[in-house]
Amino acid sequence: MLLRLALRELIRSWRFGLFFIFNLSLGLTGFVALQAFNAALENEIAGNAKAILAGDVSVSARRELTEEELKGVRSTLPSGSIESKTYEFYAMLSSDKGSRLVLVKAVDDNYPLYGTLSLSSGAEIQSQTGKDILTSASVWVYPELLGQIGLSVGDEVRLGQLKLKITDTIAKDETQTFRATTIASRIYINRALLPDSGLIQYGSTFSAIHLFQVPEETNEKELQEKLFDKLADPAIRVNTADTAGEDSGRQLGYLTDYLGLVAIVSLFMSALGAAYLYRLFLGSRMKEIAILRTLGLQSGQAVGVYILQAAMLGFLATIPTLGFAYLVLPLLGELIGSLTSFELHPVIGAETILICLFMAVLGSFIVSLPFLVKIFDLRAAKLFSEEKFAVAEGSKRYWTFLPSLILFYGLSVHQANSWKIGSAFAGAMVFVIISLFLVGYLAVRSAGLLQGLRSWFLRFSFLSLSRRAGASLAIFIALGTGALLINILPQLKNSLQAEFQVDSESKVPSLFMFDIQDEQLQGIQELLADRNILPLGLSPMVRARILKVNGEDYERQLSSQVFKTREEERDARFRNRGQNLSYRSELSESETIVKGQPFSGKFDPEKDNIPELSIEKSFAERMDLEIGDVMQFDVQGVEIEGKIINLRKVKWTSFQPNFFILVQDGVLNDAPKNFIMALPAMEESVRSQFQDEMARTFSNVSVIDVARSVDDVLATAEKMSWSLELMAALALITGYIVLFSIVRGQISMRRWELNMLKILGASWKEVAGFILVEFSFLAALAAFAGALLSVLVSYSLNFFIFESSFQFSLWQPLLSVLIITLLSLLIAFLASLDIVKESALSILREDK
Amino acid sequence: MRPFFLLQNKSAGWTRAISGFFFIIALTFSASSSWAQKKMIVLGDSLSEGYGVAKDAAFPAVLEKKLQAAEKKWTVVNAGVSGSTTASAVGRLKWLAKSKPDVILLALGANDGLRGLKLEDSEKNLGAAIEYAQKEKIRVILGGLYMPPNYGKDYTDQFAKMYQSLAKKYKVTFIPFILDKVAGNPKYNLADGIHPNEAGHRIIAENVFESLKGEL
Repeated sequence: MLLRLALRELIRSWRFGLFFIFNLSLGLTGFVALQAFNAALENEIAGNAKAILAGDVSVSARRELTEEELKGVRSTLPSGSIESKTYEFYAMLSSDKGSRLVLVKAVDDNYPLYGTLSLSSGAEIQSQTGKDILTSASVWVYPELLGQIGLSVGDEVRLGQLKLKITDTIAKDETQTFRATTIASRIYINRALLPDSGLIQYGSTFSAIHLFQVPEETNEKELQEKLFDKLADPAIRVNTADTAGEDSGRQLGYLTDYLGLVAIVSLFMSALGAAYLYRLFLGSRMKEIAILRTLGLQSGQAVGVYILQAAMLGFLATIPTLGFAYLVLPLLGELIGSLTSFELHPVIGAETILICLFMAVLGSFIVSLPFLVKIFDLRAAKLFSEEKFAVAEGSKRYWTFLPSLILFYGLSVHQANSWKIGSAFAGAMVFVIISLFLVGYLAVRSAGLLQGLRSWFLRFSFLSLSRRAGASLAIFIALGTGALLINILPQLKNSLQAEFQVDSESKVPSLFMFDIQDEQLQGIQELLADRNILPLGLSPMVRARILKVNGEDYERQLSSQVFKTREEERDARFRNRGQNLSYRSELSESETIVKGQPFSGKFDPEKDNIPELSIEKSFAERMDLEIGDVMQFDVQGVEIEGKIINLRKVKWTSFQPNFFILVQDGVLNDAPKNFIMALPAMEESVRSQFQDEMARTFSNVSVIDVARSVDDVLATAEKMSWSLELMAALALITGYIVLFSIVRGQISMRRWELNMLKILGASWKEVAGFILVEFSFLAALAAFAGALLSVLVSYSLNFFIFESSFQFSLWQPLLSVLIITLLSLLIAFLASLDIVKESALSILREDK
Repeated sequence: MRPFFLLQNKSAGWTRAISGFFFIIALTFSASSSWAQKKMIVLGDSLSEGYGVAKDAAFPAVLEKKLQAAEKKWTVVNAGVSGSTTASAVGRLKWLAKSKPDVILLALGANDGLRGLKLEDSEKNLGAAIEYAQKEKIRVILGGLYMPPNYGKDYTDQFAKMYQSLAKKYKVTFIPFILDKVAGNPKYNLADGIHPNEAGHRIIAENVFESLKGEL
């Protein structure tokens, strides 16, 4: 019976039904679009990480794994896993023209399990694609190696006992990262040839790497933990694509966190729209519920009819949403692909569809609970009074907000994939809604005090605002929250983009030189001056050990022969590793002090008490170092002390040599040291000539060519920056659409009242003026409050989650205030025109 | 290992003099004040520095304890610098010679080999360091090394011969392979397979001690 009643009602008020479906589907479409692009970006990030590792999971050691260990690994892996085994080691490659150190990668047919190796001949090498190195005694080399020894494709080279023909060069290697750039060029050979090479035997230094591709549903983190449990030797490394280590690891983490926020913001935006619409829907149906109650229906049954109706409408709203998602999103992805160099395929996951359905169908009940319980306060007698039916104020039931709060907190954590971000965001939203409630309450109440106005519709507008305080407050909070959500992502984007952007292309290095001795420095500088090459930076490097921090031993001794856990050993090895100290008169452009004071100048032993130290922030966190801590170093037999005066952050895209510990200038200047130098981008021929000259004159100085990997990092940085831009723009559009549906909904509720004004003799100009005044006051004030709060929330999220310097932009929130106000006014104006056109009688009949 | 010079003494409240000038004076003072002790400086790389192990577990510190246990009054100073090549030998030696050591254990060259540098240049650098030490009347002990087999037979043979010919040319005390019994054995190395762990350092100290106990 309930279903029949609900259906009959729905068909009778089909116009309202269509209106509801249209508006709700707008909000849901925004949510689905954001989720789809979010998933596409996350897939892209995960895909890149897997390509860098060339697998889902890797188990590696600087020795062969024993049969026992391998058995343990394979029994832990899920069935259906695919394996590839590779070796990595340094060796001397020689030919008649000379010899050179190379990094050998010995692979099998399954390599790479993910990603592509592009060869200069045009071949794209993936798992199980034909590899000529596996079928003949041949080798693929990095192109720079040809120039270094004077070889060409087709030449023969020797590697241990092997004679190999160079058949191709590597054009692009997805496993190569900036961090993995080494002193030697890579070459690829067939793993099966290793026994004949004579290079791998007792005493050889190599990495044996077992790569695995696991079924898609596998939880790689859990698998990693299980493998750690199986493998007792801490010297065996187990990596997943997430932990393999990348140049941009921290920034990728930030991007993932940002995408998590995007997911929550989109959820809140659509929830905001849905909640508001449901509230309007139930508000409009209260009269019917009261009628049904007078006809003998139980309260619960009456509510059931309308919950069922709302659920059906919600379900119907998901149809156009999903239609849009499946038809339009791929086209949007292609459009973006044609405008930029990035291919992005928006994906609508089952989870997105489920959340969408949940919000549309069941969300109505949960978010409308505070409103639904008012049914118990319904006075049927009111049905017979002449005034427009309204729900009585009744008693306050604050607990009714609890299910919504719990639901959105849970969804926030789930969407962000992080307790930290989910909780921070949910907390911020509670703060924001309370703040907006307070500001809105004051605004609505003070609107009622504006009585000395000349124009009647001005007086009427403000009085009307304060008279319908509840409804005014609801739209105020909705608009304010919308303004806040719209502004958060673009503001965080500004701050995060600053992390990714390169200050200037002219500061991007192409060569790094290290092991420059004191006495070689002048000669190298002269060589550079002769070729008009201006170094980007020169950093002295002094080796030291940290002995004590605040009098406590810093290094970890091995007690009772073994370390208890992997972590304990890792920490000990890290601490006992020694540190490269450096000094400079001032911080470089890529460094920012996040806490403390800059260096006071050159150290003067006559005046200064103790040398000053600057510590890189993440190192300080890892080692638990604070400003004011006194550190004692052993600088090659000499002990010195220093006091931490600042913590500094180093920009990832600076590509400059950076150090965990900087010592005040004037302290280490005479200590034994060597230098690292970065050289700017230069023509390939100039770069190659300079490398040859260096090899002849200063053979100990290693020159690393980073031009190729820097380009890759810059491309990644650009991609990240662009991703932020895209998501912020999508969030803006979604936000405005949601606000559009809220304002439209609100105005439709006022048709009866506006119609009364028309009947009383108000001109259409006065009707329009009345509604425009009301909305300009509410929308401008709510948008301003929301935008202001968004600055606070963005600043806090940036501080707690992203830890980057906040880039405040004034125009962005102000522009959003203007757009929201104008948008509200436009919708209000258009709606008032509609009302003027409509027959007064039909509205009276429909709405009384 | 007792530091041969302590620049800081909070309890005494001395002026914290760390400029180069004070530093050199202090080094000299330190050398003369400890006349009863003889001093050996280990001029090496990460193998000497004790990369990954505590300072007291690195072989120079273990060697000092062994020498003292054998009632030999020797101080062993660890001047190992991770990543250093033979190119740094003379420059560092000039600095370290200011503290008037009696013996230098020259244990450099591993990074030259691992980085595939020209061995003629490495030999020249080590030769220059030995010549400088001999001119300063510092006795030289040459610590020899082998390259791992993956570098190929030609290169590893040439590398091993470099030390032999230097030892012969300059007539210095020679330890053919200070990593004997350690290199290549996972039991005595860190996870990187190159750097000795605590047990490995104890064996190296034993290797050096056995080679030198009659000499010192």
